Amino acid sequence: MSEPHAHIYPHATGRAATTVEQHQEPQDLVFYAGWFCPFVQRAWIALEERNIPYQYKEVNPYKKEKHFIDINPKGLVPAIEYKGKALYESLILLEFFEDAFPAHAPHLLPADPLARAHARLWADHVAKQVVPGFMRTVMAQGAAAQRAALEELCGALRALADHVAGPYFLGEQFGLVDAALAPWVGRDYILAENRGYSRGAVGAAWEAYAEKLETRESVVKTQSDKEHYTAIYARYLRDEAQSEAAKATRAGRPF
Amino acid sequence: MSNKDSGRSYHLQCTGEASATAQAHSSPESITLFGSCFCPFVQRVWAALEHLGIDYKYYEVDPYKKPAELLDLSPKGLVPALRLDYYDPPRALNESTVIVDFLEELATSNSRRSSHTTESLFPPISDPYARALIRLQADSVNRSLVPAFYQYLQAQDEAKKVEGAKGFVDAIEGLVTLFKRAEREGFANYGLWHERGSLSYADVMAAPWLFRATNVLKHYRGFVLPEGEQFRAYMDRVLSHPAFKRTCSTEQLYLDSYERYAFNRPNTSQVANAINAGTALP
Repeated sequence: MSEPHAHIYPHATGRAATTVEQHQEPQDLVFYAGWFCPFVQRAWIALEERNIPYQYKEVNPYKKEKHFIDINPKGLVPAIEYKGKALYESLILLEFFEDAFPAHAPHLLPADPLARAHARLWADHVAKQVVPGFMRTVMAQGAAAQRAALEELCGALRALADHVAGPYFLGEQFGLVDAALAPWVGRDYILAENRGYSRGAVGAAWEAYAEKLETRESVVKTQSDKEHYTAIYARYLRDEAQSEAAKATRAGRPF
Repeated sequence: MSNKDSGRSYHLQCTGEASATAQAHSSPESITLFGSCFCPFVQRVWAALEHLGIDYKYYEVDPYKKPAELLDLSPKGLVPALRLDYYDPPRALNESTVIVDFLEELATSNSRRSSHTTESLFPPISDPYARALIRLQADSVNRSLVPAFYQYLQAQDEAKKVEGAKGFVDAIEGLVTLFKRAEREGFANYGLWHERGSLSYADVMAAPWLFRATNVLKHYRGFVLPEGEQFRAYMDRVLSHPAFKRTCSTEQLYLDSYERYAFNRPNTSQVANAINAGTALP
């Protein structure tokens, strides 16, 4: 069986590399990351947005190191160790950062319960519709399957864009939905180059919103050079990837 | 165990304790729960309302008829839906997980409670790690337990049924592992896994499917719950918890309502279709 991890570029590049370098000091919060992983980027964006001190540790999730597995049996990134306590799942990490760092501004969720519910509803939409739609479009083989998957994804993006208050999802404040979605916006050039996707074809609202997300400082700071993402997605585009997300997409399971 | 599809349909009214509870909550309130008597996602919200002591009206709808009043609140036509009449115009909420989070936040800000209860489904904000572990448990329910239940129940050939049973048991074990982890971290107050624990968000997320395992899965698949004193004690505490029990109808309602899943009739529901298509549950 081919060894996928052998081909993954070993560390962040571009602006992300600078950010990694700036977070090498030991801190109460250790952030276990894979520079290329969009789920990692969600949590990374949140840490950067909220100015939470963290120590960045690069992990190769296909080649799992002992201490990492000890604290995180599923071996998935992102994961954290905060004052010795381990936690994982990107959206759960975002909620944890809200609870555990109340004094760090800004918050990613507003104060009002209904506004919070609205944000969580659409973060749920990103998780259930947008991310799987993105994965299915990337991994679809043959023009018909690719077109069908793309159409479904665009529908999900349009539905989301309809609810954007602007400039960010809830309005002036960058928040949960934006952080949950931004990593895939940064990777949508893969779909543009290989699956006939364009932001404009989704709609003007989507195009404007995507641009705001892509240029947000916390997103830019956690983005590596495009060529390295391209190399990884090559496997997904041929439906040969072996990540947990790829396997789940193939098997029709949630991830 | 039954072997032939007798063509029974889903029920349109609660029975048993659920019926009494629905009756007790039939007057107009500023919060209305649009629900269906057989729906496990509705039961999550219903049990949360009961536990948190929030004033509400229970309003039965047939989601498969796509009534306009439901579509107004829920574009996908799904229950549960919450209508909040203390806004003008009224606001709507969908998604059981989002609704229960919302109700918890209403309750802990002490608005809309009918009693002086201080019940909560989460550890306090001063304990963020304990809260996160509860969320992880709930995540495991949504990611594994719920899909596994339907995969098992909708399986038609013997090999798939065996696979389904294993998948469901694995999902239970995954959840129990997370309960034990919270236990090891010293969080014995939160969650019914512990003898002296209180009903948690994760318990509410899991309970409707664990309950249906004892009637629907038992009847249609001959399913027997995993052994283990601690697990069996947990099941007892969950099923007999007053807030949950008050939202349970009688066994026959569930057996009738789930026959369509057990024989995987086409277009049984959006959930069933998603399981058959291998896509995420709506």
